[in-house]
Amino acid sequence: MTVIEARDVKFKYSDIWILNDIAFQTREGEFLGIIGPNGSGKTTLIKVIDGLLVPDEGVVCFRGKNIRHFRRNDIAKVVAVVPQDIPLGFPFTVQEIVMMGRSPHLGRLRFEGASDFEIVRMAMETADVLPFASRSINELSGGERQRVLIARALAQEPQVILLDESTAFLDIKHQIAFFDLMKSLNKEKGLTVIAVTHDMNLASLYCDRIMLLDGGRVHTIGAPDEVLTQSNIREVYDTDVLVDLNPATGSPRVTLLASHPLD
Amino acid sequence: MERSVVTLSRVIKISLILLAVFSVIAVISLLVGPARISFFQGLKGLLFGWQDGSTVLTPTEKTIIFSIRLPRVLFAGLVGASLSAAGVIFQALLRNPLADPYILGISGGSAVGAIIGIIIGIGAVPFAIPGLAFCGAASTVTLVFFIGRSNRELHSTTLLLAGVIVNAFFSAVIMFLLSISTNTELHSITFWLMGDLALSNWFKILFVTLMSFMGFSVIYSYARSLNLIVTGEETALQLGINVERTKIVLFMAGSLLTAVAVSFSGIIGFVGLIIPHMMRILFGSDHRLLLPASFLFGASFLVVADTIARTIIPHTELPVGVITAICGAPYFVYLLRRRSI
Repeated sequence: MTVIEARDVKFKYSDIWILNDIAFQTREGEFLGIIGPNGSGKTTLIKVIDGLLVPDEGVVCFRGKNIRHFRRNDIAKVVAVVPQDIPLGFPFTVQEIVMMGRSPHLGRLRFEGASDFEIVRMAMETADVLPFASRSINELSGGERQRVLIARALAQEPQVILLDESTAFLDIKHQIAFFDLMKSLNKEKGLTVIAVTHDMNLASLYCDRIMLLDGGRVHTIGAPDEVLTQSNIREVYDTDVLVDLNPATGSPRVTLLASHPLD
Repeated sequence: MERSVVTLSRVIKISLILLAVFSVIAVISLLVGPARISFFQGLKGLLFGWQDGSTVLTPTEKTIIFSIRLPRVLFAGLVGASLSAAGVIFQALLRNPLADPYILGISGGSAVGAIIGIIIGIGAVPFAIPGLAFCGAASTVTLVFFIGRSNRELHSTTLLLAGVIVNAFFSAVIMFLLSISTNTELHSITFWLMGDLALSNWFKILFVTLMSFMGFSVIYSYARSLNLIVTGEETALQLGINVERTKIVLFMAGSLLTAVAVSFSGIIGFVGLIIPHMMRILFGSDHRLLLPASFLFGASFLVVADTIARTIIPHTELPVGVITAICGAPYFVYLLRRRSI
C-alpha cells in the first residue's frame, strides 16, 4: 500500500524553484534513499514531505490524504524526522529527550502517563540507549546522541521515519549500526524509511529503491543498480566514478576516482 | 547526578516543599529587625495576636510586624519570584546561560523612566515613579522586539545584540541624567538603581501579586513547549509546537514580569541569574519543574537578602541589590568553576 505519494510537487524560495515536478510513491515498509548533489533540493523535499513546507503546486499525500489537511500534531503522530544532531547546552537527560517524542500525543498541558513511560522505555531499549537513560545528553558521544534521537523518533510511534543526513557526523561503525537498526525496524515493524544521504554506498547497501535528484527534479528513481550507474552519476554530479559490484552483497559499489590531468 | 523524570506529583511535591521553606523564611523575617521585639513573643503574636482585641503585642509592635514588615516581606517574595522566573525564560529564549531578566535592556529603560521622574520632582505623587519606570520598560521591550524580529521570526542572536545596544544607549542617558541632578536627587537615584524594597503598601502588593501570578501562569502553560524549543526549534516545529507564537508569548510574559518587578523595586541584580542556575543543578532542565522551583525559591532568596539588608548594619538600611550582588557574584564564580553551565 502507498504510504507517501508526491504528485507533481513544485516549490520555490522567493523566485527560485527548488523542487520541480517531483513525483514518487513509497510503499508501506519500503526503504527509500534520496541522493543528489548539494542544492539539489533533498532537505527541502524532506520538509515538504513532512508538511513543514507547503508546495507551491502539486500535493503530498499520506495514505491518500493531502498532508495539508492534517493538523501539525497529527502529522507528528505518523511521521518522525531524525535530525543530524541536537543543540547542546541545556542538560536534559536522555529519558527527558526521548519523552519529548510523546509531545504530539499529549497536547500542551498534559503530563505523560504510564503508557507514555512504557512506550519511551521500549523506544530506548530498541535504540539501545536504556543503559544511560538518566545521563545528560551533554555527556554523550555523537553516536550515542544519534541513537537518542532515533529513540525520540520511535517514541512518536510513527509509520514513516525521515532521515535527513542523520549519519553525516558518525564514523563508519556507527553509520553501519545506525542503518542496521533502521533496516531492522523497517523489516520487522513495517516502518517506512526515507533517507537523505550523501553516501551512495550506504544507500546501495540498505535501500530498496533510490531516488536521484538533480536540480530539484527526479533524475532517476529505481533499484540501486538502475540508479547508481556511471552515466547517471556523471550526468548529475559531473564527476567520473567507477561502479562495480560489491563482492559481498552484489549491490552496486561506487568508487571515487581522483581526476588526473590528461594522461 | 541521577534524576528521575518530571511528573505532576513530583512538581507538586517539590513546589509544596519550597512553599514551606518560603513560609518559614517569611515568618523568621517578620520577627527580626531593628525594632526590639522578642522572637518568641513575636511568634506568639503572629499566631494569636493579630486580632484587634489581643494584648500579646503592643500596638506599636503590631504596626511594625503587620503594617511595615509583612508587606515588605511579601513584596520581596513577589519580586524575587518574578525575577527568577523571568531569568529562566530569558536564559531559554536566548539559549544563553549568562542571560538574566535585564539582558534585553528592560532595566535601563525603566531606570531612565524612574530617574526622569525623580529629577522632575514627582516622587511624592503615588505611582508616579513606578508608572514612569514601567513606561520606560515597556517602550524598551517594544523597541528590542522590533529590532530583534526579522522575517516574522524572533532570532536569539539579534535579540541579544539589540539588548546590548539598547542597554549601552540607556547607560549613556543615565550618566547624562546623573550628571545634571542635585545631591538629594542623586541619593534617591542611587537607591533606586541598586534596588529598594522599602515603602511597600497593600495596593502595590495587590497589583504586583496579580501581575506576577498572571505572568507566571502564562509562562507555565508553555513550559513543555519551551523544553522542546531549547532542544531544537526545527524539531519542536516538527513535533507540533507553534515555535514563533510560543517565543513571542514567552518574550512578552517574561518582559512583563521583569518590568513590574523593576518598576516597583528598582534594579535588583543577580537574583534572575543565579536562582535559575541553582534550580537547574538541583532539579534539571525540564521547565515544568524548573519554573515553579525558581519562582518559589527566588521568593525565599530575596526575602533572606532583604532581611540581611535591613538588619546587618544597625540604624542603616542597605539597598537589597547590594546584598544580592555580594552573595550572588562569588556564588556564580563558584558555579562556573565547579561545572560548565
